[in-house]
Amino acid sequence: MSSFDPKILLDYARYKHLMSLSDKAGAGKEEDRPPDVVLAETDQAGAADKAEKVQRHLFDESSKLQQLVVSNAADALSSPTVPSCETSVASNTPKLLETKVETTPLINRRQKRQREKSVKEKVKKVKEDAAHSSAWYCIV
Amino acid sequence: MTSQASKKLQSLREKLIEETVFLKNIESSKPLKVRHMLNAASSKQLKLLIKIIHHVVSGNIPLKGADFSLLTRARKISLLSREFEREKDVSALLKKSRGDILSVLYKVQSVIGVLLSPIVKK
Repeated sequence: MSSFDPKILLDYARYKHLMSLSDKAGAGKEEDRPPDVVLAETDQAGAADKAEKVQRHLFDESSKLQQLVVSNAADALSSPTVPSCETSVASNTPKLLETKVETTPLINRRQKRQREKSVKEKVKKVKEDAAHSSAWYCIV
Repeated sequence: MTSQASKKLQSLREKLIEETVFLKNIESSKPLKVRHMLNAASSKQLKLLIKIIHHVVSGNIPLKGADFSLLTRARKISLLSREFEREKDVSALLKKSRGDILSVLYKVQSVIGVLLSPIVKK
């Protein structure tokens, strides 16, 4: 049976300290960052131009993504056959998401209306019961 | 409401509370059993029943829509209004003999439970 060795603890603490130091040093490395960001940091003079470039790049990317989602939704609406749940999840996730967005508010509205109706009925019943129990003819 | 009317209602309420068991039994019984119970009832209880029916028919005791539709389906509305709506007719009926009172109550035995429901039911 081995006894507890405090040296192991010390070694572990040293190892953790070194690891945290290396993490801090590695955070600023250029290879971990996107090229546009690195350029923006290094070149102080043309920082504004590069930031603009980055912004444009991001905007282009987001517009491409939006177009993709819209085209997928259009395909989903125009296609006569509805794909099964498994295939749609596996092959075309944006279609499924788009259909969810279409259906959920309707259900919510219907549920909300039903809930409000039931609450109104309950309130009415409670009021009637209260009026009845306070009436002179009630002997219950 | 005048003080005399409120006194009348108060005394009627006291009578109702006195006869709670009888009224509950009649309300929950089927028409044939109601007939037996009417036969076995005291004249005081019969008079109380007539008074209650008068109050229901004249609208002092409100009836639910479903109960009113039951009365309509049983075709007892005209009979009830003829026999129990006016106070004069009811006071004349109360002065009659037990046999006459019973014969009138037999006519409405199928709907007595419905007429008593606002008093007994929650």
